[in-house]
Amino acid sequence: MRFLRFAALVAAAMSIIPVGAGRCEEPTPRGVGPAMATRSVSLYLGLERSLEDALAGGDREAASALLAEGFEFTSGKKERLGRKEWLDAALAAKKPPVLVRDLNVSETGGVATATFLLDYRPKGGKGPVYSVTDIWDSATRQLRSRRQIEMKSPPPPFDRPTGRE
Amino acid sequence: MKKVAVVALIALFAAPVARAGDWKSEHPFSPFVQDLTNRGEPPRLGPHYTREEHGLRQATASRTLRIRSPLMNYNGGKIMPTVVSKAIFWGPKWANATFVGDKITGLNAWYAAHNNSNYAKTVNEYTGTNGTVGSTTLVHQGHIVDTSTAAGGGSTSAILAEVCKQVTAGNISPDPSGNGYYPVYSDVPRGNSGYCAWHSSGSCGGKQLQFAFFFNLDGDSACDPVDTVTGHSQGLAALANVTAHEIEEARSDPASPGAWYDSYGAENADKCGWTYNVPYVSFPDGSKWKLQGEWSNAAYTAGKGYPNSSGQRGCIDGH
Repeated sequence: MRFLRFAALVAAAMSIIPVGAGRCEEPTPRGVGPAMATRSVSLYLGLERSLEDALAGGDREAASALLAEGFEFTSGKKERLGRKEWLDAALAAKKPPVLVRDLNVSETGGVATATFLLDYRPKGGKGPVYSVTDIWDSATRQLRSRRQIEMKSPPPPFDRPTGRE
Repeated sequence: MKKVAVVALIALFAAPVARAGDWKSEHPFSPFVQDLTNRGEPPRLGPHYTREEHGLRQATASRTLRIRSPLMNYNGGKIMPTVVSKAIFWGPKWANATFVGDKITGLNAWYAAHNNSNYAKTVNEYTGTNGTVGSTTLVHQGHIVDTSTAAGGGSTSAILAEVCKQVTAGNISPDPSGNGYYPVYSDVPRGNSGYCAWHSSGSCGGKQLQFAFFFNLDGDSACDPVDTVTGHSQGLAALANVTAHEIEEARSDPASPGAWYDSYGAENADKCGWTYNVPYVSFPDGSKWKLQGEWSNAAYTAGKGYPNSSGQRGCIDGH
């Protein structure tokens, strides 16, 4: 029941976001190109993007492969979902293109903590921005937990990723 | 005599194995590519992935390919047909000979020898509203040392201000065609920033120019290409690798609106970051540098590139 309520909420939230999103505004000065990410940011940015791509493409197998057996999702609304529940909900939601941005990683004790923003705002449009904290298993490169909170005052959108994510 | 022969034989067979362990067998998609993407600290030299993980990585990458094209798209902007560069070494440490070491000399040599190199030619396939990226007119005008307190990389405005300061002081005459490229090498270490360097564009006194920022990468393992071959200091090797990254990006995607990048916003160097097809790349003056590859749409389409961290075969280095 709780899962159905969550799925309905996600679906409702996603349905108001115009498809065709992707690029946002750019900070000054003009023409900020992508930065060269460190090796660990490069790796986890790739993994986060792979997960979002798999979810957006409805590819359960690819998304599952990136989730650890005991994966747990929590949200700011005190939702707590297990691996299957979250996958079902995330795959059921019609997701517009999302930008993984402002990613930072710290690695210690066999886990990597990635903090970043999931930005669903299309260029010039509105949409939710989530602050996400992911805990990855450094050895298996599988996601062990995700905590996600919708931002009340998200940073301004930009025209394209800066690469500092 | 017999002993010497046995030792020689062992050495003969052991050498390639040691070399393989040093830079091969690390890439999950190719045994011939070194992938220094951080797959757990400290960087592992020669990991052997389990069959399960190898399969998982390949499956994930190939599925991702079906969803998004790995090709870079043209976004309507300019490219850099030529480059006029002058480096700025900013910060009080640049007055310290021990800190400077081989870095200033080495980077000046890098920029000078980059001209007409096969490595520079890896960007030549890209075109923009102002022509085609060229690799035969990359002019380096040397460097400036500014020992005032340097900024970190958090503000593009601060770095642009430093470039403009040098313009005002008469140390830089911005290239009138807008192809001036002014890399700023700060003496500030990276700290917790998730990036090693970046490039950007702006204007000084109404003149458009390109500029880039580089952290001090001495002893910074997160931004280190692990160069054990060329003889350069670790600090120079790290700066040379990120220098290659930034200038090749600037040449193919210098300004707003952008020119060439993929659906994630990744530019040619981003797409091949931390992957190395060969132990070093040679420049026309005979110098050797350990440099990451650059993405080529043409190589990917022809199936002739080496694989990046996601297994997409579009990286080239002109070796």
